[in-house]
Amino acid sequence: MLEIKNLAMAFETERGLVRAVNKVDLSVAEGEVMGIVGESGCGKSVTLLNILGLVPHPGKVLSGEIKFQGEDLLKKSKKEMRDIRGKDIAMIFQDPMTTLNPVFRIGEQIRESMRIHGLFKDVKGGIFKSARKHAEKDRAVELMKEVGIPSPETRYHNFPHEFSGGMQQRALIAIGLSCKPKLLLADEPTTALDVTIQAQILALMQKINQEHGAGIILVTHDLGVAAEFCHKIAVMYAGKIVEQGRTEQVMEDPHHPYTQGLLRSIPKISNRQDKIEPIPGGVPDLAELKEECAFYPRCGKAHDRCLSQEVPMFDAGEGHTVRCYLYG
Amino acid sequence: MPVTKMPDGLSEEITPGHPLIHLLQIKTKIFITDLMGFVRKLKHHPSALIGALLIIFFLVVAFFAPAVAPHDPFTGELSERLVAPSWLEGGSSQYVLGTDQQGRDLLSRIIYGARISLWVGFISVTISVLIGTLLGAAAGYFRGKLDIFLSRTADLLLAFPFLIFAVAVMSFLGPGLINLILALTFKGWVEFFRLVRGEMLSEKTKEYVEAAKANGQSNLRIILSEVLPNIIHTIIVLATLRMGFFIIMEASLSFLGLGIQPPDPAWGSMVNEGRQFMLNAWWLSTFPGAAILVLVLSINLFGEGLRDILDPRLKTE
Amino acid sequence: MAAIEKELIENVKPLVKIDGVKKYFTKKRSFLEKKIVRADDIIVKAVDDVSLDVYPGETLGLVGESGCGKSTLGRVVLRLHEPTMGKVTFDGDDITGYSKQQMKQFRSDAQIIFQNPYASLNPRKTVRNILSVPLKSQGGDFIKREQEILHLLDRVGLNQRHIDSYPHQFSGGQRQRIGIARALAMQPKFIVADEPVSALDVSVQAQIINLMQELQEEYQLTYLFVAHDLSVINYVSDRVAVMYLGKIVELATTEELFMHPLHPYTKALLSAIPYVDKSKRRERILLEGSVPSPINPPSGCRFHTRCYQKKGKICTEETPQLRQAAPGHMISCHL
Repeated sequence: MLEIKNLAMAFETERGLVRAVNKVDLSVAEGEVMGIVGESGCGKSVTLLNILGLVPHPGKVLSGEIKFQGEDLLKKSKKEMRDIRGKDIAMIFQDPMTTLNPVFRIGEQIRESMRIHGLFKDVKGGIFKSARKHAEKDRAVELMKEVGIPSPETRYHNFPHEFSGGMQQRALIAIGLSCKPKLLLADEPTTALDVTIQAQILALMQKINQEHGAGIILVTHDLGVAAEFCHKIAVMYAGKIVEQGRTEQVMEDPHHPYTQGLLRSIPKISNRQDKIEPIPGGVPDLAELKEECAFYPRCGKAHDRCLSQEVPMFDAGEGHTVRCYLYG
Repeated sequence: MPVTKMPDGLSEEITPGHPLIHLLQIKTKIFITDLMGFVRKLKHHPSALIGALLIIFFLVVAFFAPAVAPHDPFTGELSERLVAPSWLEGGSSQYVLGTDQQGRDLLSRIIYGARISLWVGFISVTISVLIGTLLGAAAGYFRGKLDIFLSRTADLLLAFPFLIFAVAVMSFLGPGLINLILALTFKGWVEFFRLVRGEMLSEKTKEYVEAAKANGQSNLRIILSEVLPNIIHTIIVLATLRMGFFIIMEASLSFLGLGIQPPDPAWGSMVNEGRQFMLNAWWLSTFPGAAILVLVLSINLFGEGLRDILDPRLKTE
Repeated sequence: MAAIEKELIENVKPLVKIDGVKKYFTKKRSFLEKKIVRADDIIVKAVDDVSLDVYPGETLGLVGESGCGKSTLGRVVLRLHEPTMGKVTFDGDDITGYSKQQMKQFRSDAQIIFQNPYASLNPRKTVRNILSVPLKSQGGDFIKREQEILHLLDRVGLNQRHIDSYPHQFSGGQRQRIGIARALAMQPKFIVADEPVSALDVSVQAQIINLMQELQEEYQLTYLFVAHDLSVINYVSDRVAVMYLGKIVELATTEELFMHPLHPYTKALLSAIPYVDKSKRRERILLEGSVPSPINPPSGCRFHTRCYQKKGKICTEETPQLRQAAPGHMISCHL
């Protein structure tokens, strides 16, 4: 359904070209949940923004294509993209407090998306279009019920600040679902929430995935969340995908040294005595990337070949790919 | 988050030799780097640059007034009354901008008038900043009854339009430079009070202040050495902008006859004196008025540019 | 580990004793508001009757979700907030009654590491300045301070030549190291770590956690480790206290708590953790609704509005006390 091929995108800054997304290949089939995992600054959020053409200035797409249901989104006009946003592809952002407009009621905000995409434009109403408004309201209340907001009829008239964090996020999901999208992009939707609320939201998203058949791309830095929730996982580092495959493949049999390092650095409740091993060093500066493997300075298994040229993706079998010379 | 580059010059190893000298060297280096950075940013900002250059021009002219002014601003040749500016018919190259009703050279008077305007502006702003910052910091940090009292006083003062208030004060005190400054600062501190109080309220909740408390720092030290350095750039911007305002106030009061009295060459009173001659000697009011315009404009341009330069730089960093 | 043994020996005195501490934040309404609109003072019961002991050399984990009062409790222990009621004892002395002079000494003994590495350092001060502040209160001359700063930087893993850099020139992990250096500069016995790794990337978290553990061993530190990430708490703590809406609902050794959680909230909390390792995943207990506001906490047991194992009327009426359910395992529940 969604296929990203060779996407390269960078920010033109005073300090040079910051390659935020560097030759990324991704694909999401219908009804599939894809996880993009990485630390801050690796380019995962920007990748999502690229799909919807929401990258702020001074970002520029350098190459590649993003095919959604066969059509290249990068070639679409602004108007066409506006049609797609919210309708075919919806996005949920990280912090609901800042994403929701504090001066409009929740109900109105859920309806806004429907109104923009003309969901009920065929409903005949009077001059005041009250029939259409009623249809929109009914659907909004229905959505609120579906995402688990209690007493939706009353809550419809609430302002965002009257909702708790978890409920705000549910409201955002309701907005995202209002036009029955085929693809849902979620950028760290639960990072700002408590762990019990996170569990609720993830359960909700899982329900949406199963009941509506909507594909989901979930961006997160929490490996546990990705492991439990996604069908496929892509691990990003410094703008490139370094490992990709089905969840079991990547989590249980990690190939790339970075993935292995990440897994080793998380405290595991099961084995307290296992010492966590941090990956030495820090994330590289995206403005100073060179041709070689970006993970080289921190990799324990590097050899000279890693410095020579760009590392290609190697096939590790059954759809599991790794960008590392250890496997090619 | 990726690590940004360390500034050059700080990558030397710790040199042997007395640490205090070394510290001084480092502090000077940091200061110079900051200054150069500031000047560089200024170059990107054309309006601020123009403002800055004009202000420097005025400052230099005012400072070197005795050397720059072609004539004595106080004495005039009665035989040379109301001479037109040099490029007009009836003008002379001796009096570039013409003379006034007492035969005094207008250009010289304007040059000396710059001194008064700049002086009054600077002193009033400085006093207002000091009072306002002191009271604002105390009110914002300690809150409670002190804050309530000061805030209500400030609100009360704000209720009066500035000029009317200043006129009332001046009528009460009588004209003159000192009284003028008094009148301006009496209400002038309030803006800075509100600014500093607001900033203090927001900075007070930040964790580095809590950290200072946890380190056992006294309240006074926290206000002075932790919070104030973070607020100072907004104070500077406001001070620059208010200076333009104070200069206009001074000119207005002098125009009304309440401020600087003749024969002192205050621009405002010059405009006032020239009123009666508007039809036949328009230059008497126009040029001093133009001087006020240009000075205040350049101060405002610089102030606005300063705000742009100082603020986003801190935000992106 | 060491603390459990000490507890069992039972003649080791706790380093920090928190006794019936309450911290209420009151927003007073003005006279007019009270008379005309009949609005009441808003009281936020952030910490509501907490009693806890911290033993020397241990790491006591304090865990809970947002709004449970754990950060507030951490600050009250250090008297960064004054307790509304109750007392805190440090090394046998009641610090709530300390004079200014005594507080100075206490500030040197008890320090804090903050959560936000970006906000906890003064953006206008260089590292040298930031670290001079605690050192100045220790006395000593300029040269000695310089040496001490360099030594601290080295100990926390920062390059000494960064001494004149500003916070914005460092990464999050590095800033946190500066925060740790600042806390260490006072040569404390006790450190409250308020979510010290929550704002950091996963790989950096591990670095900081390891650093803190090394320092604990080297300097014989006692930690009160406040966090919401249960895997981190599990890894660093000897004992864990779970907080909900200003009260402690369960207290036990780490192993005991994670293997045999007793309180319904703890069970739900543990079940919500997403695991990479499939075999460790627990049956998800999804709680209804969201956390009630600490302004008007539910009567009786604070958790009864969301409790799935509610016993009955008693849960609504009576506030359960913290009592022992098993050796070394305290719980606050009617079940």
